[in-house]
Amino acid sequence: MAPVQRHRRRWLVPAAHLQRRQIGLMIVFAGLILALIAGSLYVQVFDPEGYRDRTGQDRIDLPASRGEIADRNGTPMALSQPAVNIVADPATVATNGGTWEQMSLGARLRAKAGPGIIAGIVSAFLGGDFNDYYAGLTRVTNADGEPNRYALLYPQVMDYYEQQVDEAIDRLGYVGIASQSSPLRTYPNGSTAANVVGYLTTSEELVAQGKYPMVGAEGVEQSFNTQLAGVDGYGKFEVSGYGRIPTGDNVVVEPVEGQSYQLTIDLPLQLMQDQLLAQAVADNQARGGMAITMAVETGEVLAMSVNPVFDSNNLTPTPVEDQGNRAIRYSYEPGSVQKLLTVAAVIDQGLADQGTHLEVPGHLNAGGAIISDAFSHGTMRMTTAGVIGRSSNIGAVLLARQSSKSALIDYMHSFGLGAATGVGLPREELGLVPDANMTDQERDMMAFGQGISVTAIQEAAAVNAIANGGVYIQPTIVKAATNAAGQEVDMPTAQTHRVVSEETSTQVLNMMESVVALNPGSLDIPGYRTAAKSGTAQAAGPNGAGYNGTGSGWVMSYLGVAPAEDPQILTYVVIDYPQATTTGTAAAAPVAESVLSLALSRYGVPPSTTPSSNLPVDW
Amino acid sequence: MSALERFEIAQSTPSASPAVVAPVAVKTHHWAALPLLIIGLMALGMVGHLWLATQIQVQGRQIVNLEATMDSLTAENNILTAQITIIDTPSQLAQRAVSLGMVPEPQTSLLVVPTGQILGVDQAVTGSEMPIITAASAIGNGLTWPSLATADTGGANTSGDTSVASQLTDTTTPQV
Repeated sequence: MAPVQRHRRRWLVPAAHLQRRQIGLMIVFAGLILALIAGSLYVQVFDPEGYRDRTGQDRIDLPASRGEIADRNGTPMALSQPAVNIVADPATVATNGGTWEQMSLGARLRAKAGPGIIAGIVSAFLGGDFNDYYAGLTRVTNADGEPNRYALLYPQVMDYYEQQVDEAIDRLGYVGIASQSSPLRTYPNGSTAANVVGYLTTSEELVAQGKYPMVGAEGVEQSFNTQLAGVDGYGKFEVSGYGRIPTGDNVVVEPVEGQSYQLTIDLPLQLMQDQLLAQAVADNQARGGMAITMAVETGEVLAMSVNPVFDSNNLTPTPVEDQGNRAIRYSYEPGSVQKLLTVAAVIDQGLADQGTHLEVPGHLNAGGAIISDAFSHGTMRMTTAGVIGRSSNIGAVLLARQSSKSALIDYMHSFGLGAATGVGLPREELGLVPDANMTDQERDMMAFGQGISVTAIQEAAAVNAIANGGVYIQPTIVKAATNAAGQEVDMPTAQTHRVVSEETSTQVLNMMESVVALNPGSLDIPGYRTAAKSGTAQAAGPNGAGYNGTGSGWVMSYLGVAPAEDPQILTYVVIDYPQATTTGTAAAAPVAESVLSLALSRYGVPPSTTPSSNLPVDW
Repeated sequence: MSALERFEIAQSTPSASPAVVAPVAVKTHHWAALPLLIIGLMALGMVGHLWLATQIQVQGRQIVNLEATMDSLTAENNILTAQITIIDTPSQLAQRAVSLGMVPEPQTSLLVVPTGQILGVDQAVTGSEMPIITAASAIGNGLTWPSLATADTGGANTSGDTSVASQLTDTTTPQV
């Protein structure tokens, strides 16, 4: 039998060939294993530090956006815009990113020219002094001899201009310049309501962190700084020499954006009040002034003006003492406006009424001091309305003497004097209210507004309580707050409490109309019943100089409410140390009257349909 | 049935003709077919990879360019938004209003619709009611121009000129 022939498939590899392939494959695998061993040796033996240095955590800051501030109409008062700080790494600039020893002569010459060229670019695009930039760029080492890695070249430039600077430097092939986010806080209205909005300031620590400037230092920016600022977030990533490790311990904490605030301020009204106050201060050659307009029923501050003004965008030209808010921080003796509170307290205790008959002498002995009125007179027969209408100091003292001292002081505290109003602005001055153990003379002086000190917001809020039917309502500057999602944030409601009865309130308002009635054609607002009171207070000089000593002067004020039968708007104006006038009516009344007119018109308050109270002032 | 079984059956069966063993035809491939296939696939993959990589680079470049354009437009938008914000402020509007001949209206008169009654003093405004406001608005009311700048806090730049307003108005940027 013939042997069976098996035919091998030709593609099958002969044994010898198979051995060669196996050997080749083994060589390949051996090569791979050797490469792995070599890599491991390099990492663990030859360059452990380098590998270690290339690993670690990469952290990025995720700054929260600061909330905006707007007026009651939604007009922006403070907002943040994207901006960056242009910063330099002078040590890198010095070598243009290279290693000096390994650089060619050409590269070294090029690096030498770097600071000058970069300074020139920054100066050309952004302005400023070339030498300042150059000095910052060439400060290669710190005081401790370490390389200087940080120099702030230009703070808070809008990114549009930073991009141009960056492109120009890139085009010329220079390195070492970077940017860091530093949102620009802007105040589009400049000085209008700057005392209310406030401003931000900085600190050395924040600058070192590149957070500049981010802390509220005045106004709403300060009182709600934490809420406006939000909470910064961050991202933390584990990195190796090849970038982030996908499975590493990576954490991202999103920032909590700041809340935005809508104020009660009405910017157009504020602007007009600012203008009128500024003119009055100038006309009276005064040291300054304050004006507050409030919505009577809500306690909302519609306008709060001070003079001198400052611009939140640029504080440099303004003296430090004028960079605050006098309306809440400057305490003074209120003068005759205080008589309204005295009379209200007396009437509310049932000790007098608007028609009470008083015999008012020309002079009155008050604990050894002689009290007189601003106008000379013999004994006059005045009603309580006449005391208010004629602003009689002596009449006010006679009425105050009807009350116990403790009751008077209780009323003053109930009117909000001697305590912060909580209007929503920082660092309110408390003023000074005598205690119940005051002397007779102190009581007498307090009756007509001396020996007691108030801030403008305190006095406005106190009289507002009378205008508001006897109910004190905490003044407020903040209307609403919203979070980043646009949801309204709960705000504390304004505190209210009754100070005097509604009947007392009505009587005092009626008597305030007498002030206007006694000055026909000058204080009235056409179409509206207006209640008002002027104040002319001596201001003592510093360091106990007294009312007639060096530095003494006058504080003129005027408060108007309209319409008297249903008060809607209250305006209080204070002119500080005027040189050209001697009465509150002359100095402050024109401002108050004009602002009231504008406000009544602006808010569509219907004109009065009832006649003025026209109370008898004499008997 | 295997070839061997078929052969044995053929042997056991009487036949006039001698048995002829015919090899089974087996289709074979050239030894280089597989390596060529692999090389071909690799080449195809490389070409594909090259094409993809090129596309990614091209599109990456396009993305970078578009992002740069977007950054530039966003920055420009920020500038324009800032300008609008300034122009929209009451002080600026007041100046424009005065320049257009408008005057404040401090006197209110209201028409009660159901009755037709007029409340208040119904008289024309002459423009002299609030001369202070009119004059102040016309000259910028003495307020500081809303420069949108922040206080200078030092740094290498000591010029104090951090005004965005100056940035806004200085639209001609010198070429370096």
